[in-house]
Amino acid sequence: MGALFNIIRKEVKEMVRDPRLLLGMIIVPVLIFPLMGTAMSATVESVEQSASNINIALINNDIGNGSARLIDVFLDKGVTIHDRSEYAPEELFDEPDPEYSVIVVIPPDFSYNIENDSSVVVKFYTIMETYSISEEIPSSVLRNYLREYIQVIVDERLTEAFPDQEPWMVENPVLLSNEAVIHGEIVENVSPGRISEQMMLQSMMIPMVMMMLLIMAAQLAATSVAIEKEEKTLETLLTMPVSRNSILFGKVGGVVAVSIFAVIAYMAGLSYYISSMASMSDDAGLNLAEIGLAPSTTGIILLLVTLFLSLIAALSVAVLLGALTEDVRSAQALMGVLYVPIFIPAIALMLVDISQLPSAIQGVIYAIPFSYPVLAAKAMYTGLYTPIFFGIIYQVIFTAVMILLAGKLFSTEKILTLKINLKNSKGKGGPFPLLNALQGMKKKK
Amino acid sequence: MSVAVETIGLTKHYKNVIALENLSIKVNEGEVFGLIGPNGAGKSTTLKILTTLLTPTSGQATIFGIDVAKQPDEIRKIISYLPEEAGSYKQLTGREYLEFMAGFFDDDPAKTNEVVQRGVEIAGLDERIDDRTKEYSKGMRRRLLIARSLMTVPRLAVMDEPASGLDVNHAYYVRKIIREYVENQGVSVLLSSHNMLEVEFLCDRIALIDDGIIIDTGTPKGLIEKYDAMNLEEVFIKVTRGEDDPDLADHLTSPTNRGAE
Repeated sequence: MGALFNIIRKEVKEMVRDPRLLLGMIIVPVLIFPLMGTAMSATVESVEQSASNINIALINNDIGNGSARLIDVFLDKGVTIHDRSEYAPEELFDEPDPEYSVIVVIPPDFSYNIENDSSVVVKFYTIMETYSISEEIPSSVLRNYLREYIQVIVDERLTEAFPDQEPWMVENPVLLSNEAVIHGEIVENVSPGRISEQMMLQSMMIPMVMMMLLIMAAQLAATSVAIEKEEKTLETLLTMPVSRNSILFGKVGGVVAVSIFAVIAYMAGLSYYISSMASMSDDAGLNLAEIGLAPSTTGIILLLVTLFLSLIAALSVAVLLGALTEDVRSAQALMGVLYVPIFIPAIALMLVDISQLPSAIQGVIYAIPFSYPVLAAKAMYTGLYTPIFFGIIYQVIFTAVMILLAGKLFSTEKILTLKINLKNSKGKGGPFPLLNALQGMKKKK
Repeated sequence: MSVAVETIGLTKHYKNVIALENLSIKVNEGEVFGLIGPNGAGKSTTLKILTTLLTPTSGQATIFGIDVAKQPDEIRKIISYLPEEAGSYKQLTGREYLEFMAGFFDDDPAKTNEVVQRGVEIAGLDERIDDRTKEYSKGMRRRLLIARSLMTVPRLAVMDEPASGLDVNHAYYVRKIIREYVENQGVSVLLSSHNMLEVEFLCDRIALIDDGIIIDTGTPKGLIEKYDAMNLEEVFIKVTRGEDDPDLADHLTSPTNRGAE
């Protein structure tokens, strides 16, 4: 055990001290979510500011009561109005004023049509220069204010036509109550759509964290082995009085230690990002636990077990691939082989349930050991644990086989003589890294 | 005097390439034995088989009576190996590198510290021992690696080109340290080298190897006399190229050229 910890300690020291590894594989990925969250918050603030501070140029060609009431609605809502009634709209287009971005044109027959139960067109011209969302916000907000005004007019007309009826009853002969039923209980005032949106937000977190964790850890592991070859330290290490399995497990253990720290940082960063996203949504207040959708303890344990086994499986494959290569660049290019099975389940299961996929794709997903954390993340809420239990057995077998293969490779001279060099292969691991790898495989003389 | 290394008919083939053919050598305990030969002669292959990195296709190798192929774990406890182009872990300091390597030999921290302290003294890097090895020059790194290979006082130190690529000062230091450890600690050394000055200075006996076959064995002085040569370099040229290149052999042995030397 002393030798194993000796290697783990060395691996951790090397990883946390290497600025390339630390920056590229730990600090940047860990910071990316908080940075995205901060950017999202800044966007939300900017949009909110655009919505609360609306300036318009008003060309009012009407002199009746109807237009006066519309202007009152705008003023009540805090809209700043610049009267440009003496201009034609085209004159304002040519020389836009930075004080306003929307020109509202009320036609001469506005009040007449309103008062005579007819229809009339109000024109909004939005001057677009940057084509950003914030440019569109003022006209969108004004449209809502106009709808409120229209609702008042409609209600007046309905009251006049149907004096014995409530206007909203005339408008809505059929009302819909769309409620979700969870575990046999009706969830009042919550639509199924709101719940599935919230669930999607949460179920996206696991695949995203899993993808980033596995990719980062696999890169670290493959690099750690390949760097021993590139820096010519492996030969010395292999002649030390330490078992080859200790070297293998020491490398895996070092990456696991760093990965556990990284995953905590990822989760914190991602939570911050998701809460920033949720703050933009009206559904921010929807607490899944309160409506009976709290994850079960069994589900959480299964998720952690599948995630840990996925990590070990990915590291075993990465160490194996790293040991086959000649240098760090080849090892990182060869990692492309591992990304495909990591991406497939994460992306495929992010939006749909596995039962909705064609049988062949279901088979592929069940065959990939990295699918099970994503499936377990859903099972936490659905309670469908059986496939996860089988998945864990499968993951253990897969991982054991990979460790045995890696151990076999480490215990023979092939660790030194078998080399895959991707440096000279076309594409450097591009679209067909495995093909390139096989082409580049050669025996060292 | 017991035998430190003995190989009998040691052979290594890589598919169609013969790296080593029927190699038989004997290294006595406490001596420095040199394997001398051109590039691709099979020197490094021999050293890698003896240090358990490669397995022989046929033949037998023993170190202090222990079979290299059958008991590699036991072999690793009594040897140290210095590869020709060995690196150090760049993010570790020199001291941490020595601590890491010493940690494989004993779980007792006091004994490990003793070994590390010996390594620090051998390296002779003073306060630079606490710098990260990525900041070391090639010479400093080689001194650190020499220290690593000698600090455990192995029964057999296997060294591939111990002073390869070093300037005069570093090379002199490295050779002096190796000689001291052989004389004072009884360490046996098997080395390979292209540097004939190094071989004459360090080796008690040498084996001349070419195309994976041992051509001759003896003391440096004995071989120089046997081949009627001025120095080992001339012996080396005569043995490895002389028969194929009579002009070169004549050139080396002509009285004019010998006088010029």
